[in-house]
Amino acid sequence: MIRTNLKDRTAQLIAAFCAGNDRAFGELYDLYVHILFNYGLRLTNDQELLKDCIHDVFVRVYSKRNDRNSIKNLGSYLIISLKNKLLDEFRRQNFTSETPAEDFYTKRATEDTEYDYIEAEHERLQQLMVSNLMENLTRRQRQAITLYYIEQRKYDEICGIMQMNYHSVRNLMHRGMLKLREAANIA
Amino acid sequence: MTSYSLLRLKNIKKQKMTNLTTVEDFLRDDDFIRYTLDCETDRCGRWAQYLNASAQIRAAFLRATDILLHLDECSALTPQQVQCLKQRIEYSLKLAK
Repeated sequence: MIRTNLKDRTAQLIAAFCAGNDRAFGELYDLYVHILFNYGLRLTNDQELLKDCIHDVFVRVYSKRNDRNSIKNLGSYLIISLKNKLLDEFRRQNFTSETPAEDFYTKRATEDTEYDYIEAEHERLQQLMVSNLMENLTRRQRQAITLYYIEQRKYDEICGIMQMNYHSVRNLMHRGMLKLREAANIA
Repeated sequence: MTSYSLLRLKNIKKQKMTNLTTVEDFLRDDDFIRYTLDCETDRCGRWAQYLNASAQIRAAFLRATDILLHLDECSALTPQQVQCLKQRIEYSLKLAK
């Protein structure tokens, strides 16, 4: 049970962490990682995604060390942050995978030649636009975005394929997406 | 009516509109999480109504409370997974510095 002694210990560790003690941050992780993981399992079965989100939550908490008020109630802060992170990921996954282009096109009637022609032309133009936008990226950014959005790989796999650590892959993706957005706005 | 009263009224209306019925609904509700874990007594009024709700909703409310309060009693993570994730976080923090 999330008892008073856990709260007391948490308060001590937060005080030490905010005073610059990194070991206290490690202890906070030890105290809360199981709580977060168990909570996350109520929302998803994807353990890798869950670990990715817990990673992001703790990295964010670390950045809050100078803002003691926001992490005063660390238990609820961590759980709400994890929930929001997971919901963001669900939304993103739905957005990218709910209606895959391949499925959409194969379900259409094949008898309608004019419709097929228009659809094929539309698809060709979209592909052209995507490849033009991708030209704005570096080779590594293009590879990371292709692996994640087109091949639907998980971050762990991408790290392995690209021989990069998790944080660098996330940064690469982030910078790539910024460039794509910027290019799409200009186009 | 003072602005404080108006704000209270607005909050009460907002609370009444909230319709939590399943365990998952409760577990995803920020206010419920704070109320359960932070023991915020000023939120008690809102949540007390769930004890008088239908048996199904009351059961969901109590089950969600139980889940939140006992999250630390078992672990689905192995010690290796815990350590591995910790190292990943430390590595990310090191890179960010």
